[in-house]
Formats: sequence, C-alpha cells, structure tokens
Amino acid sequence: MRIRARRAFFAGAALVILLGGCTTRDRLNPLDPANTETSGAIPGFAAVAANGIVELRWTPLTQKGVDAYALHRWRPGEPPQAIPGAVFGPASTGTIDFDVENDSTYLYRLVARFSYGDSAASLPDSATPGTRSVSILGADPASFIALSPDARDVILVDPAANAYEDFDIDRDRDVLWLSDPVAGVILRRGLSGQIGGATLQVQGVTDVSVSNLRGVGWAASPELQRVQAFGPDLNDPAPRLTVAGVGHARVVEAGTLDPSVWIGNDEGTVYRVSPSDGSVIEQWSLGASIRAIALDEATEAAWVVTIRDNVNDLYYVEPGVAAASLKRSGLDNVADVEVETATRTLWLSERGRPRSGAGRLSRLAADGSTLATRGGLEPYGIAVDAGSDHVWASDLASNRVIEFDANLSVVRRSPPLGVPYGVLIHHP
Amino acid sequence: MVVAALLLAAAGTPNVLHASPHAAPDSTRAPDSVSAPDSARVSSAALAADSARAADSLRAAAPRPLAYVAVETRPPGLRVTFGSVEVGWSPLPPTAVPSGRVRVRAYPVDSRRFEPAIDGLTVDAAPGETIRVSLDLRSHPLLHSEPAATLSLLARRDDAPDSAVGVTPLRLAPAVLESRRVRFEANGFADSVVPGAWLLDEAARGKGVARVALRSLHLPPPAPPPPPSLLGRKWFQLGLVGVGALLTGGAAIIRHQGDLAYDRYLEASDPRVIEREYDRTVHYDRLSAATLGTGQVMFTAGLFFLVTGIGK
Repeated sequence: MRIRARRAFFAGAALVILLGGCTTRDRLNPLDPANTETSGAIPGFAAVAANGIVELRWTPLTQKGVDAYALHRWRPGEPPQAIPGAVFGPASTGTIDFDVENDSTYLYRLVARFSYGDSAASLPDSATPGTRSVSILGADPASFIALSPDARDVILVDPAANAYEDFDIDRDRDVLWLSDPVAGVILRRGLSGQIGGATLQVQGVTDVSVSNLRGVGWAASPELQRVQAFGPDLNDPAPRLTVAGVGHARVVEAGTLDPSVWIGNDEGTVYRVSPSDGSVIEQWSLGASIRAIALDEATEAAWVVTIRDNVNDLYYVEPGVAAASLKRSGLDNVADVEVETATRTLWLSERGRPRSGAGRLSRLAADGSTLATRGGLEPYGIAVDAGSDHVWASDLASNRVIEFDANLSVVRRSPPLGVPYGVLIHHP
Repeated sequence: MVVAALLLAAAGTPNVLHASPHAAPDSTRAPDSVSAPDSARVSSAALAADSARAADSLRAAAPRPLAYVAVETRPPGLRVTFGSVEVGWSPLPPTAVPSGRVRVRAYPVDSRRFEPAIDGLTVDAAPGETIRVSLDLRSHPLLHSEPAATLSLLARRDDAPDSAVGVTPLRLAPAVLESRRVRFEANGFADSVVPGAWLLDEAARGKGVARVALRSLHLPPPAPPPPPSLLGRKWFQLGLVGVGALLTGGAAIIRHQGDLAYDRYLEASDPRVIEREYDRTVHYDRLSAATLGTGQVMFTAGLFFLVTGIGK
C-alpha cells in the first residue's frame, strides 16, 4: 500500500514537472519571422484611396532601433520604388500622397530603417483613388457606412438609432436622405456624416427619392396614405407639397430627365403625378402590391415589380399605354431594381430565401430577356455606377459590397461589413 | 500342498482332502481335510526329498491329535518352517500339525538384509486348537537425532506414563513406531514429539535412517530492526521541505529573468536579437517551470512524508 502511494506520488510529480516545462510564450514581436500573424512584416500599414489622393497610415513600431520610415510606391507589374523624399521620423503615423491620378491603381509599402543597418517592410497595400463615393446602409449594427472610392477601406461608420428603410442622394448638393420609419423621420446627412439639413417628420416613411433636377425629395408613407415633397431648402422641415388619394403609397421614384414622380401603393396601382402640383397624370392598375419602381428615363417609362403570394412579377409601364406589359413573372423575392441609363438595361436583384445565399443578380434587356445572371449570392440593394455599365450590389451572403461589370464578373469587393443591405454610388 | 500332505500322512490320515492354501479356516469345526498339494510350489526335487525325510521322522513317532497353526509375516512372502519342516510361504493359512510344542520360524529370501528381529516363535498347540502366529521381520529403522536425545514412547492414554526406550541413535521395531508417538528429549533443546509413522516414512526415504533435528533453547539474539529508509528520516523530510521552498523561490527569480528576456524580445528589431532573446526566454521559462515543479514536488513530498510517515 505504501509502495503504491509512493509510486503514485512520484508519477504525479514527474507529470507536473513535464507539463510545467511544455508551455511557451507567444511570438508577439511583429518583426519576428515566426510570428504567425505578421511573418515579420510591419503591421498596421494601410493605403486609403480618396479623390485625387492616397492617404497612407501606419502604426509606429514600438521596437527599439527604428531610425526612420520610408515609403515605396509602384504600379502593378512594376518593381517597388522609393518615393523621393518620403522619409519620416520613427514617431510618424502617416502621410498623404498627392502625386496620384484618379482611377489608377498604386501599390505602397512601408519600410522601417533600423539603426543597425537592416530594414523591415510591410506587406504591400493597394489603392485606387477616384471620385466615386460609396455609401452603404448596414443593419448590424444599424449604421451608415462610407467606403473609399475603391471600396477597399471603410472611412466612416455613422451609427443609427434604427436601421434605415431607404436612402437617396441629392447629387447636386451631396446630401443623403435617410428614412427611418420606426422613428418616423428623414435625416439629411453629408457624405462625411455631417448634418446636411433639417430632420423631416414623416410618420411611417418607407421610400424616399430625390429629384436631382430641383433638389426636391419625395417621401412615401403608407401609414399616412400620402406622398410628401420637401425642399429644395434643406433647412425647411415643412413639406412643400402633399400628394393624397394615392392609397397606401409605399414606393416613390422621382425622375431627373423625366420630371414626373412615380408612386406605387399596396393596392396595386401605379401613379404618375406632376411634380409641381401633385396631380395624377396617368395611372395603371397591376392588381398586386407594388414593391419597387425603376425609372427608364430615356423613354419616360418605368419598370414595376409587384408581389402576389410571395411571387414577384415584373412589368414595363409606358406613358400613353394603358396596359402595363408583363415582362417577367415568378421572380424570387425581388429586393431592388435599377436601370442603367446608358444602355437602358435593367439590373434585377433577387434575394431568394433569406439567409440562404441562393439569390441571383441579373441584367435584363428592355424586352425582359436575361442578358447576364449570376447566382450564389444574396443580393439586396443595387446601384448603377453612373457613366459605366457596372453595378454595385450588397451581398448578404458574404456581407460585402461587390462591383460587377456588365457580364457580372467581380471587379472589386469591399471588406466584410455588418450586414450591408443598401448601396449608393455617387460621383460628385 | 506337499508339506501339508506329509504332515497328514504322519498323523495317520493319509487320504484326507486339502483346503485352499489361502482360504480362511473355519474355526467352528475341526478341519478334517487338507488341500491337494500345490504343484507350483513343490517343483523342487530337493524339497521333495526333505519332505520325505520329515514324513519318515513323523511316521516313526506315535500318532498325536492335530492342532492348527496359521502364520502371518511382515513383510509377507517369507518361507515358513514348523520345527525343521518347511511348510510354505507366508501368509500361511491354518495348517494341521501334531498338537504339542511347535517351533515356528520365518526366513527371508535374502537373510543378509535382516536385522535383529523376531523371526521365530515356539507355540504350544492344544489338540484341535488353531493358533495364529504373527512374525514381524521388517527392518528396524535407526532413529538419529541431533544432538543425541532420550527417546520416550508416549502413552496412548493421558493417565498412563510414557515409557523411555533409550538414547539415539537407536533402532526401534516398526510395529512399535507405527502406532505410537515418540518424544525426543535433550538438555538445552526443546522436546520434539514426532509421530512414529512419520519416522517410518522418513526411514523409508532415508535408507533406514530417520533423522530429527532438535531446536536449541539457546535462540540467537533477534536481528536488529532495519534502519529507516532515507525517505523516512526526519532530517531528509525537513530537507525536502526546505529545498523545495528554496527551489520554488528560485523559480520565481528565473521566471523574472524570462520576463526580462521576453521584454527584450518584444523590443528588438534585429532578427538575430529577436531569435536570441526568444530562445533565451524559452530557456528561462523551461528552467523556471522545471525548478518550480521540482520545488513544489519536493516541498509537497516533504510535508507528505512528515505527516503520513509513509516513507518509513
């Protein structure tokens, strides 16, 4: 018995000693080649694109012996070259490169020079400066998000009390209109998140559309059964015009080339009203609730999406033509439609069953035929990149905003975001 | 049997029948017949001649009434004579002889092996009486003891005295030994009582000699108790506690050295310094862990042995 107790004691003791000698500390020095996160490269370096500039940011190393930082810049396919004169002190945190051209891609890296004669570099980061402004609505958390022109970096996250239902932009004054049906307000914000105008009180507001022609914004409220117009004075919170008698108006689209305003309601009627006095110019009854309208301003017509029994139909409505033309039926949970003005093609976002990643993004011809389609997505909001045939779509499957070309090939994609569901592209 | 037939002829009853040599005699009636001779045992011509002479001698005497003598020997299978007449091989069933004094003897096949033993007996056989003679000719085992001891046969009853029989070395008859117990007594030694049957078995295995070793009363002094093991010694247990405490404290110092090396690792920008300081950190950490573990084990072990006494 005693021998057993002694053996057990010494076996346990040996185990304690062995286990005690098997723990090692993490290799947290970022310059350590064995660091699994950095592999010895300088961490925290980023090249953020903007309009005509690239902002370069880095976190100074805490290691000893850093004499200076230098920047290398090169174009894809070229060797890295030091930017002349771009040498900064060990406590510096960033700089701005003005010597860039919009819509050109540049690669940057940061080089730390050490007192012992060696140096270390960061991983390269790319930036494509441009005029593009990428605005996002995020649901988790509820926020307005601004991305860099190349969508590689988040440059602003403006938290919101509630998730916005919709947003549009006053392109002449760079002011965003954001609708919050829970709070019953419409907020106006600048592209950098600053206040852009007075808060508008619209109970139950769902859709908002800004006519770039005169800077007037239109808000639909099915709860109030009316559509109200605000502006162009951004500081005036009172509606300048109210359109009543349009049923439970849920969708509103205000044209720019075509100045008329299109309204769709839950009763299945589409109205085309005058922006000056709100009188109904023309109306079509589609027999099912209206879910989305996209204006084909070149012909002053509109694409209308209806929903019946959880199935969407796509109509083409033309002024002077009494009957709406059914272009597609049996669509799966259409979230958004957008017309590409240059080619008059329609971008169609079908979300599919929520959170299953089984939706698709399609590009349709004027006759409703499919020109291109891409599945394996869960697209929600879409925005045409003005002046091109590219479209941006928020993808709930990957939680990214993705730019597609006309053939639906991916051009670029944002970093992961918090459930992005609305996207808006603007070139000031 | 031929011998029996000759004896009967001498008794004047020439034409009587024999009983089987191995058949038990009927003691309730007088045997009036003897069995036919056993041809297997009379094949010797010399024996026939001796028997004829014996018959002549008996015939010359006056006829006497018959008595019967049965002979058993240990071991069996011995040659038996009545007087000078060989009458057969033991065990011998009741055999008719003229009444009166008869000298019965048994002879081994190899007489050289016999030791002092009762090999003969003279009996007085009354007419018509059946006498059973038992002769023990077994070898007498030699009882030997170390040291020489006095032998006593223990009484079969508690109230009867034991009987001293001599001093070893001594031979005793197997008949005595097989049913008795023997006590060996010697000054300065403990008495040993041994069953006689055991002595016979020992003698059988020991070529006729049974040896008994007596236990001396002068016992050797008890062996000194073994010294306590190292683990059971107080100074060692206290030493374990002390060294364990020192090692535990030393582990903290070494750990601090590891912390310093790790800080230098974190601050370093030269890859050579990074590698060197990290290796140094690992070295100190392992050394610290081993020192701490060893110290804790020694400390705990010391307390453990002190409290439980298991190490003794």
